Order: sequence, then C-alpha cells, then structure tokens
Amino acid sequence: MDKRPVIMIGWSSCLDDQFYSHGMMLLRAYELAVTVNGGVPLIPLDGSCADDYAELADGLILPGAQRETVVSAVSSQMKRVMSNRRETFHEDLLKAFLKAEKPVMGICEGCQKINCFLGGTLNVDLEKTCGVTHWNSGHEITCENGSLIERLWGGTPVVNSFHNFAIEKPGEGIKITAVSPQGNAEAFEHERLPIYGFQFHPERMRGDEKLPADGADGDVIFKVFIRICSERKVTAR
Amino acid sequence: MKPLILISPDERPSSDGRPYYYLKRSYSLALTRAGAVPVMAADPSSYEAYAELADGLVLTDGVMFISPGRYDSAVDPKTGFTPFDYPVSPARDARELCLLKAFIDAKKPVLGIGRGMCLINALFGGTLRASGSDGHPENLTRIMTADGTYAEELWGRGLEGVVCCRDSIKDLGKGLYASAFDRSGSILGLGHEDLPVIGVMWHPEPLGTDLIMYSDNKEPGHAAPASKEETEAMRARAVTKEPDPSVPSDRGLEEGPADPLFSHFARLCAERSIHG
Repeated sequence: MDKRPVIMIGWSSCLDDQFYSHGMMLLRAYELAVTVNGGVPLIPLDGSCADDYAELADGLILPGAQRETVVSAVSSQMKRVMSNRRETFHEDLLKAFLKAEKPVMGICEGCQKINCFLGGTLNVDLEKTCGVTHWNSGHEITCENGSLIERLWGGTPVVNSFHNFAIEKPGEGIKITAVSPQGNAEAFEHERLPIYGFQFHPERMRGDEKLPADGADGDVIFKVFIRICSERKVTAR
Repeated sequence: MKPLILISPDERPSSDGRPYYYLKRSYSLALTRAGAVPVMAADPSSYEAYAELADGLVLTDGVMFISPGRYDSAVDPKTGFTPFDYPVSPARDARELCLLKAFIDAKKPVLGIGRGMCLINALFGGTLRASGSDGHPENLTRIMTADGTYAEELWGRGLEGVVCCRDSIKDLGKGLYASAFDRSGSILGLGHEDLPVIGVMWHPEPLGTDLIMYSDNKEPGHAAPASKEETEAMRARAVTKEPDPSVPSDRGLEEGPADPLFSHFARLCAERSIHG
C-alpha cells in the first residue's frame, strides 16, 4: 500500500488546435516538484466532482496560469471562455478543499485566486504602480520573522518573478508573510487554516532549470507542504 | 458509489520548450456524464499507486505514433509504409505501457481510444500498421459491430463514428477479439476474452469543436482586438478574479447525454470499485 499523500494540481486551459476544442494542460514542472518531494500527483478534471476530489486527496495546489498557449493564437472571445472555465473550475476546487479543511497551496495566479476567493483584491496595474516589471526577473524578498517562509528560507531569500498582477487587499484570514522591495505581497499564510500562497514560482526554483540560479531552493517549499498534507492525513485516520 | 477513473494524457512541448501534459476537456466530461469521477495521471513512476487508487484506466488518442519497437513492425506490403518514418513518443509509450500493465495485473477495467486501443493490442503481442488517418470531425465512418460482442449489445448492428488515428490494427494480440469493423474489414473495436479490457478506434467522447464558435474568423492568429468597453470590464473583473457572466463557464457542462460506451465502461469499473 502506497503511503504517500495524494496531491491534486489544478489545470490551465488551452486550445486543441486540430479541432478547436477546449483542452486542459499541466506543466510537468509542477508534477515533478510534487513527485520528487514525496507526493503522488493526481489531476482533478471536472468541477462538478470537486467534493469527491477533496475527499480522496490530501492536499491541493493551484498552479500559475500558462499564458502563452492560451493567448497567442486565439481570439479574444475564445480567451475569455478558456479563462472563465479555469476561473470557475478553480473556485469549485477551492470551495470543496476549504470546506474539507485540507491543505491548499497557491502559486502565482493560484495564490492570487485564493486571495480573491477569500474576499481580497488584486493590483492589476503592477508595472505602473511599482515602476518595475515582474517578468522573468530575480529579486530579493523580505520575510516576516517566525513565518513559515522565514523559517524555511531565512529573512531575505532571492526568488523569481513571472507576474503582471499582485495582491492588493488581503482576503479574510490572510496574513502577508513576505514582500518584494516595492512592497508587493510575495507570500501569505492563513490565520487558522493550512492555506499558503506564493507569488513566485517554487516549481521553477529547483532541478535543472533553476531560476534564478542564485535563488532559494524551491524543493523545500514543496517538501514542507507535502509534509503538512501527510501529517493531516495521519491525524485524520 | 461513483467509480474513480484515471485518464492518461498526451504530452507536448510548450512554445517556450517546457513539457506539459495535455488532455481534451471532452474526455473527462464523457466520464462525468457517465457517472464516474475522472482524474488525470501525471507522474510516470507512480503507476502502481495509480492502479491502487483508481477503479479503471482510459488510454486516450494522441498525435504521436506508437514506437515500432513496441510491436512487430515489418513494412506494410499493402501500403508500403515503414513505421520508422513517423514521429513517435517513446516516453509516452513507456509511461502508458507501465500504467496499462499495472491495471491489467490488478484485473481492473481498461478502455483504449484510438492510439490507446493500438497500445493495448501491442501489449498483448499484436501488430500495427501506420496507415491510419488523421481524420476530421465531419468525416463519419460506418462501423459494423461483431455478433455476440459487447459492441453489439451497446450499438446493435452498427453506428457512425469519427475514426482518426494514425496507427491501425494489423493482427490482434493474444486473448483479444475484434468487436467492430469498417466496410473494408479493418478492425475498429476490440475486447479481451477474460479481462475487462475494451478498445475503440473511433472517438466516442463528444469530439467537439466547442470553441470554434468563439473564433473571429475560424482561423487562429487573427484575433480581433477587444473594444475599449470590453477591456475596461475585463480589468474590473480581474481585480477580484470574478468569472465573466457574458461567456460560458465550466459549470453545467456535465449535464449532457452519456455515451453508451462510457456508461458501459463506468459500470465495469463500478462493479469492481474499491470505493464502495
């Protein structure tokens, strides 16, 4: 009997270019980060089964959106349908996993989604308001003393950056635990529930294509999240 | 209790070269409509864990041929095709053969579609020819069922379906029987004499061109720019990540008619389910 926790990872939308039908995609970087750090990755597919997924899985990761496959070759209306489907699917998953009080981790857009789901808002003018682009750049963040991220990575780790939006108003129960040099939220925890958010991409801060090369070790984040899922799994039995 | 059914995805490189798993939305919808809970496999090394967790396996179609080394791959005298000429995905073959073997060892149901059916045939020692078609959703093939098989029970004497798989069956593997043919006698469906293993060469999932209606001129790369009002409304929704009420969401898609094949397969899985 396999004792590893089952970790679900949400899909992003893409287009089947042969038949113009809706496709679901998952970058292997997420799956690899989960597998290498002791989880069994399993991908939920239909929002109508969200409660079944929350019952059988030990934790949920909401990944970042893969932009280019969604945006490059399709009409604005197709883009809206595809992003709407991802948006509602992720809401259904969040609702079910929060109800079941199972651990949830959001990465980049997934982190923003959790924040908004809990009543927070986003800054959609990031480049204008903070004066720098957060696209493919490495930078230092400042972590709050005693927070999970500080205990894992120390006070001033270097992370990557692939986002145009950022958290503005934190959602209910959300405590910002790390900020960028411009003061944007880079990580959060929840006051009561095992919910974590990271604006950077820990799945790209590991393995052969570590970004940035001098950045903190992304595996540590996955390892601790999967351990949290695993401990709760044991307690529940 | 709803059976948990694992679907194996296709794999592709993204435009910036990062590999991703890909699955048509319609495969999972077909299973949900048949009363199952669909999930997608991800880690190639977790096949044993997947076979333990799930009640059944679906092997999907895809654009890559099956590696000729996986079956008896002599040149097809009828077509002159040499299987080695075609694009293959040895990684997908290996990943799916491990899954397939794990589910068969556990005696759990397996459904192969297109490429998936060809892989089942290869595992049981059958042969393939690389002479299938690329197909198009509007090109329907007349499919005749074989007497006394599950296919006859499901569709009577026959049905019409979209056949688009690049591989096709030459000789069937050990223990397998043909459940459907086309007019020329090519094998379009299979079953196993002792195991709950079935396969079809056509696409029973709602194949769907469900996004083409939102295309501006039915061709990619010619997107009309959004109007000023549209852009404003989209920005406002982005602040709270609210779904757009003016376009369809992912909700309610499961409320469609169930295909007889997926219902049959979900039943096979439910009868043996460990989630009871």
